[in-house]
Amino acid sequence: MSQLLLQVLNLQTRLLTHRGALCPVDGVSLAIRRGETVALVGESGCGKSMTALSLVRLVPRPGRIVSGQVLFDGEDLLLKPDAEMRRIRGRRIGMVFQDPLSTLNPTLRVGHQIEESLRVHGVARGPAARQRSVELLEAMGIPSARERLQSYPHELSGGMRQRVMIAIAVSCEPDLLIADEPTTALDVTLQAQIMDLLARLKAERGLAILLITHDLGVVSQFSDCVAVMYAGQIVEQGPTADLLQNPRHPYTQGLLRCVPRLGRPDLEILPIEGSVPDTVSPPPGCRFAPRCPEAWNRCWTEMPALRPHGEGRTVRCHLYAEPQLLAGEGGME
Amino acid sequence: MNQENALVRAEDLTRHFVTDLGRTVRAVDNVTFDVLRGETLGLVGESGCGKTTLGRLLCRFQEPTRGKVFFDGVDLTGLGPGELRRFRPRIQMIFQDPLSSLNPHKTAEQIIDPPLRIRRYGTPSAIRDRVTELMQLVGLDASHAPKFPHQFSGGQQQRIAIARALAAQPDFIVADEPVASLDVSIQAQILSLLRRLQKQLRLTVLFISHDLGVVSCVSHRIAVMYLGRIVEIGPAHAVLQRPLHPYTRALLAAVPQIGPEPRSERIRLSGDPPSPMDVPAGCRFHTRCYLKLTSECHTQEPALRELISGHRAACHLAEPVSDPVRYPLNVNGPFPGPIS
Repeated sequence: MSQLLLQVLNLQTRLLTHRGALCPVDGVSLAIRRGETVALVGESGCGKSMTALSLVRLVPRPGRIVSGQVLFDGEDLLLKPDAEMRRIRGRRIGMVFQDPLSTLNPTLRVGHQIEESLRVHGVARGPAARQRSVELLEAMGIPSARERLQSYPHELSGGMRQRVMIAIAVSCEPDLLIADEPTTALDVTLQAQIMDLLARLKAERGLAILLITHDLGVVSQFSDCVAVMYAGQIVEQGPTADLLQNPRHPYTQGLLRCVPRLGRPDLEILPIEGSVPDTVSPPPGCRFAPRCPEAWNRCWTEMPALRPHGEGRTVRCHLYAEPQLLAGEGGME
Repeated sequence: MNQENALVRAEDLTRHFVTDLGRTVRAVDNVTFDVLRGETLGLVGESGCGKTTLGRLLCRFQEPTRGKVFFDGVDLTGLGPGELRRFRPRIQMIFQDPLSSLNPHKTAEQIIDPPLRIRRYGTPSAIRDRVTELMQLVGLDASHAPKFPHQFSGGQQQRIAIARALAAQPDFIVADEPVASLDVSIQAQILSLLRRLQKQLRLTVLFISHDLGVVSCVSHRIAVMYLGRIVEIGPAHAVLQRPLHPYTRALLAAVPQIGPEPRSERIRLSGDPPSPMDVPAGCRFHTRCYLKLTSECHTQEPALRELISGHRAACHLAEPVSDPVRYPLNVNGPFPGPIS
């Protein structure tokens, strides 16, 4: 397990609201190896972005990490002093967010913003930083890179801005890139360009990527492993191809059935009825029980644990609790 | 195309906007097409291609710069405000963001009933009964009628917006990105609702979306827009499975698919779409096209040509393909009930 880069253990983040304590991240455990892309997938409000922010200790107030460990290269990030954390962010962990227009400073030229990150982390300064910025933009596929450094963010298109964001995120050659919905604001043809770019960075630089997305197509095409989140918890985890082929958790199964399949217009979409539960007062048993077509007595009273089930797979569901009750491996269907 | 069959017909429809700096944005440029009675026509395209403007022109929410819109044989563009009012109930719209299209100060009932009251549907109690009926029709619990929009979830808000549109008993609905702001599980609920309503009430729908997957599961026919023009239009299964226009092929290839089988074609468009303020000469798509271009592509704007029966594309190089369609669509087929 020497190649293990990031290991998150039982992370819990709490948010105090006027209605009571909310747990957007409730006991999340994740592992990312070097050079691997792990997708965190779920619907809005399931806690996937909050998980990403918790990893780098950027949880917005009044949110607070209450327990757990974030082992990055063997060291717990949650125990680091703030100053050291600042050196890790940007240097060893790069970040890309959904909307580049709100993450880039509108009053500074993009060249300045790329050079700033190089300078702050002591990677390069002066003409060397400028030269490196040009190379970075060229690597991102931006034409006439030298002139582009003089542009302000509003002068660039959405796809260009996202390339600049990625350039900044990888400028200091981080080990891990956290990409939070990096293509959600973009059209499909641009999404394809940006995802290809991330895949190339991963292949060429051995970058590990935590890809946060709601799009199962993106997960399928661009990740090695996937964790499905529902109401603050991971409900299923495993290698991407296997998990999407044989989903075990009823939520994952439902999610896959409600996505329109372009290549298979003969497959019907089937909605999951109901809506996501309130995490201020979650149901006592399984959080998915109220929407689950297969819920039985135990699901309403007892929270299922995330248990191993099959090669590299884990699932949080009572249906898989007692394998002897089920006819063989793979269980349902 | 059979005139009798068309409920809505756009003829040479054009809308240009002039910016503060005096530049012309060619949002919709010489678009001619029909929406047939009882069909759902999906209109897809990337942001800024003019699909929303086209939808608004068909409702006459926006005046065209040039061209005509016929509704049930009547030219809407020639009508004055009084005459137009007779047509208003027959044409309704559903918008992307339900919360901003519902008045926050009104209850669900007060949002749904104005079309009924304006039409003098009946006594107050008859109107109330009809609101209950409409709420049930769109899958809302009628006991929630006195609630305000913010007390509903996003999916429920969209159901209220749909109930309001249906209250006017329309023939034609323009749904502009009705599921774009919803999560997949809720999106699927609204899509299956729209499909059921379309069939049950024999509605004619223009379904506007940027998402080919979404369009594919509600549309009988699909129109693809690029930079203010329709570049391809045809039966949904044909457009999705044997697209004729290189842009449609690129668009399809760009959508990441779930599953182990790789994409049939790997096409990547380079760069960004050109600005509608600066439309390229010749074929609008030629600056991003990956086919072997001819001089015609640089100089002549291609017209929509019928290459296969009912399937048209605006490309000088497109040729009819006769590959068999692999998977028949079942938009008209039986629709199994939701997981309860």
